[in-house]
Amino acid sequence: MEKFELIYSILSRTASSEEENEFREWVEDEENQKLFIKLQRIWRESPNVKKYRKHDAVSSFYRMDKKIKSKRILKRKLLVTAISGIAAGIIIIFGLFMITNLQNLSSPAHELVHIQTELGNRSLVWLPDGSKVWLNAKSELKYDSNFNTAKREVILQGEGFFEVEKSEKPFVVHVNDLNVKVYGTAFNVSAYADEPVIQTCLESGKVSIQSHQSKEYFINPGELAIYNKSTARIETKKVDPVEYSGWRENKIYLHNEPIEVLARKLERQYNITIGFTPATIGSEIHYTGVFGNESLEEILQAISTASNLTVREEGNHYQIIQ
Amino acid sequence: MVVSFYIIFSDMKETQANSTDQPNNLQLVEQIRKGDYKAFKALFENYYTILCNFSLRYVDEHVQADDIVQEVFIRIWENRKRLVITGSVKSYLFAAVKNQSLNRLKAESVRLEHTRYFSGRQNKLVDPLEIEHEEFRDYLFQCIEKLPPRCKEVFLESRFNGSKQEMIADSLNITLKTVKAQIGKALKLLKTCIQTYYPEYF
Repeated sequence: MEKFELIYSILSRTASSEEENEFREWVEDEENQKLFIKLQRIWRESPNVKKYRKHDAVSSFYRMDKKIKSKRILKRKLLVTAISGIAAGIIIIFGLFMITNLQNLSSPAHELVHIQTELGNRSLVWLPDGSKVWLNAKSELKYDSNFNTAKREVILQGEGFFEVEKSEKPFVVHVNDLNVKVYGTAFNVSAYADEPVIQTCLESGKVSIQSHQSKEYFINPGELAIYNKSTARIETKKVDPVEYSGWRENKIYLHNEPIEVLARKLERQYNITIGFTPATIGSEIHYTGVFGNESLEEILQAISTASNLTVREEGNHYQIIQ
Repeated sequence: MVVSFYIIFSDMKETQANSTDQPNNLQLVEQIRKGDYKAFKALFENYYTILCNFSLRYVDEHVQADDIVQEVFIRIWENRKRLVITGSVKSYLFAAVKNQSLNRLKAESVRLEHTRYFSGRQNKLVDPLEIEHEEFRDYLFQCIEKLPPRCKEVFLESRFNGSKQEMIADSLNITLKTVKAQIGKALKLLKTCIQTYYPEYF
């Protein structure tokens, strides 16, 4: 009789007296005893694995990956909302403060109100006249505390989308060497210091731009005016204005634009840095497309797949390699 | 190889155990700390099944176990930059899954008015012996899966359903002799199979 069958008889308590004698003799050997103890463990543990299953790690990881990504987007959204809320709160308080000041006519002192967004953040600013300004990441808006008494003037650095309340008083946006004059309207101004051009895109109403050297230039709705900082020349083209204010809904539109343009937008939006190897691909590779609520990783994945590039993540820095 | 290890998130309570660890686990965690998502995936896939089965000792449903294991890993990923490795990854994973499972039970047991029973049993650490048991069961489970079909059927009838020899012979329409032969064969195959997974045990 095979010894494993004998052991089964012992373990299942079905052994005959003959088998028991045989087992007693067999188990005297030290090696056999060790083997028996191990088989006994297998025997005893077996009922405990009745409910065990091979669980699908691959599909579970896929589901978890979605959770991790949506959590990150949610966090960012919450932050943006919180910052917008706080900024709006501050502006409302300022507004109230100024209204009381005006009513009392007590304080002639001019103060500069200064709103600034950090990298990765945006905010909605309510001006004392009821106009709204959405400030994109890493942007600054300044205005005098007597705003709306005689004229409405703000100073913008970076990018902002304006919805201007109608009024007799002209609304002027100063951007570096350019003035954008508004006659009741919605428009986007992009004037980042690290971009070579200032772009003004009109959604509705009437806007004019004027640099120091040139005369007033009127922009029509649906028109984009590109002011070149080095040549001081203005170019215009017909565009879909939604694409130029898309950043308010986290949308990025690209029309055959070099990937360095996208990289700079991502850098501001996500507070990261992006580098290229070799450095020339930033201007050589062009991309067309729209990004909605994709995560940073998904956007980088999309461009790397489209252009056969590799993306290496090093903390807050991403290196795009050809 | 028995090594004493700790694994700590700098803002979390520590978990300690004496336990063997696969050397590449430490390497994986080091890569995870640097933000390597592939290493994170590898660690997840290595431990997913055993941790789910371990969690199912406390919770009833696979969905709960799955959720618990995911929570543990999401926490690792989100805290990766503060992940300090001085210990066994395995011990950490088992302790985290156990604690998370007990927390679930505790939340549910409030409803079932069994709170006192569990509150006294909350334990931050997992006995290394408990991990060894779990690994043994994991190997055993995998080896049972590999048994030849007839052999597996007879063995499971005996061990999962607790059937006596005669009942097995009856229900499967085979002789007593065949029952004994098949279970004897199962024991032999299981021993050989577990030996390959767990050489230091045999």
